[in-house]
Amino acid sequence: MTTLLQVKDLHVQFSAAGGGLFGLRPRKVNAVNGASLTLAAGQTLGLVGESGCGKSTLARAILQLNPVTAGQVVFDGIDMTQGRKVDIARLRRETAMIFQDPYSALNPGQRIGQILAEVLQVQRKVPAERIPARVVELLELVGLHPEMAERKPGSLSGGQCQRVGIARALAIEPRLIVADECVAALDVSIQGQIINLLLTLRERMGLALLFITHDLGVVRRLCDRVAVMYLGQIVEEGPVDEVFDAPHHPYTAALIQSIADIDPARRLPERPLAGEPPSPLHLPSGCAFHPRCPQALPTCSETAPPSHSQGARRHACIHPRPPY
Amino acid sequence: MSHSPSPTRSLRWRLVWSLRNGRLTLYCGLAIVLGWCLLALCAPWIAPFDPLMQNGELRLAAPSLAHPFGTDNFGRDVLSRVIWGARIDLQMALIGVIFPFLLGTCIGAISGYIGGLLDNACMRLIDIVLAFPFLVLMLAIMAILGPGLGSFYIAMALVGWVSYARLIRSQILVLKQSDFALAARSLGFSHRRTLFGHLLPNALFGSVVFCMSDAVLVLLNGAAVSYLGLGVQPPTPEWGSMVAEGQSFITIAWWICTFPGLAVVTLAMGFSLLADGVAERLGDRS
Repeated sequence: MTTLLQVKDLHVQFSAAGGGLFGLRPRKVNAVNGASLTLAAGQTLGLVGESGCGKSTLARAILQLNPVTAGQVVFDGIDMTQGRKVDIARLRRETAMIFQDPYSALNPGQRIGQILAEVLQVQRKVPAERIPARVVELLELVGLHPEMAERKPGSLSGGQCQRVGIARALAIEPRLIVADECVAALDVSIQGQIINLLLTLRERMGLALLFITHDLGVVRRLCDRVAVMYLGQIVEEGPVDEVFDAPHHPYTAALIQSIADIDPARRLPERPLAGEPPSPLHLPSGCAFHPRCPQALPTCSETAPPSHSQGARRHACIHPRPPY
Repeated sequence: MSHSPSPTRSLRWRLVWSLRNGRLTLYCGLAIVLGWCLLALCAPWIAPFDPLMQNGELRLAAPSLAHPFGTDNFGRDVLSRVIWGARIDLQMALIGVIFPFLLGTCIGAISGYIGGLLDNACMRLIDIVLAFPFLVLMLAIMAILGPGLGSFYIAMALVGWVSYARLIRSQILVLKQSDFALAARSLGFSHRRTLFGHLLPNALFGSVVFCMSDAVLVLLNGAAVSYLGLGVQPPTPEWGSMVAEGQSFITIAWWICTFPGLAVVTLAMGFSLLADGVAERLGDRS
């Protein structure tokens, strides 16, 4: 399998309101701190982590929608962080994004048909006279009736809007789709429909999918590989089944334990992960996870954890093998 | 309490009323403004006399059948002058709104979208304009440009754009953070397409409503400027200058001031009703 996307040691910082007496001391929010991941063509990678750990920022940085502070985003062999116009234009032609809130991702003033036609027109995907036919094709592809083209987003349900969002992403004919919590705002039955839709589309078109979520059940259903993110870093990455069966990083273990199950006999962990994630304004020294880690050693607060690779798996922790 | 209506019923009545009121406001406003427009358009056929024709024998005549609004100190028919004045005043309200609207919308949209230093500079410029009292700044500009309608429009545009720029800028600042703005970028849309095709149409609602009520202010400003002798020059019939001219005769001939004044009031009311109605309709939609 060829590597489509490679993220190397990516850092994203935002300037926050200043600290100090008069707010003069500059402060930085470290949203992404050295995240690295790889995605092969046609593969689906699930990116999971708590709210505020930098998942969405990482996704936007990959698509060059956020400024990158340091590191590289290599898409199809080209480093996009150089910001050359030709490269960015190519990135826009070959990647697309699906958003969390299906309503706010669509311009409320445009009709569905216009939304799709505009993409086709701007990206010159089909000749002008073929655009209406292609719009109908796209709507049918995502399971919407072609009559929807006349409607505005306000008169559609959340699930229908998300289908339009997916159709708009497909209009690009992308090789990579970044889906940022694209089912989190939908109710469960609609979530199922959207996930099935993504599964069939992936089969039919050989799309690579970066699927951001905090729902581990969805990851298990949809993804080939999973990357676990904590405070701007990828702490563990590997094939979904292996990671779920035997997590190597204590944070992954805690996440998997806390999956809510429909089976009432299976209890949630006695002691769920304590505390809040530290503020990205003041990162902890050493391992970012050490203040909450049940297996932390004294050295964890001093030195950054080493990275261990085992076959297709990788994790960053002082323990090469889980001690639990 | 056997006579009091049931709560659900009174609620329904209130709802029906508010709906009807909303539409009533819109239609009343529309009727008044369109009525004045019609009068202005048909002035040559409706006005009983030439508005400029002086009649030395009929000076300061009280309202009568021949002259329903009376005559002024030159013996001109006040009714005809009010009808002809509608032409000038409507034109003032229209042009006096459109230019500030266009100027302010462009500046506000670009400043909000680009942000940074340009935005800061625009905001300070707006602060400077706002620091002066509106009318004083307008009079100063008109004094430099010389009296006349042309300089009134220029002064209006130079002073009036600030409110539109602020309104639009604040909307654009919110909208440019929205997901669909990000989507537009991720789809490779140009900045121009994103700003003018996607953000601006969604930002215009507030300003469209505001420009209706701004028409009232422009109308009153136009009247005030004419009253001070800097706007429309005599003998052209204009409501503001008619009030100014009639002022010295208010004790002996009340009709000279009163009827043009009432005309200003009705047209202003029409515009405010229209603004309320449009706001309600647009508000319903979104």
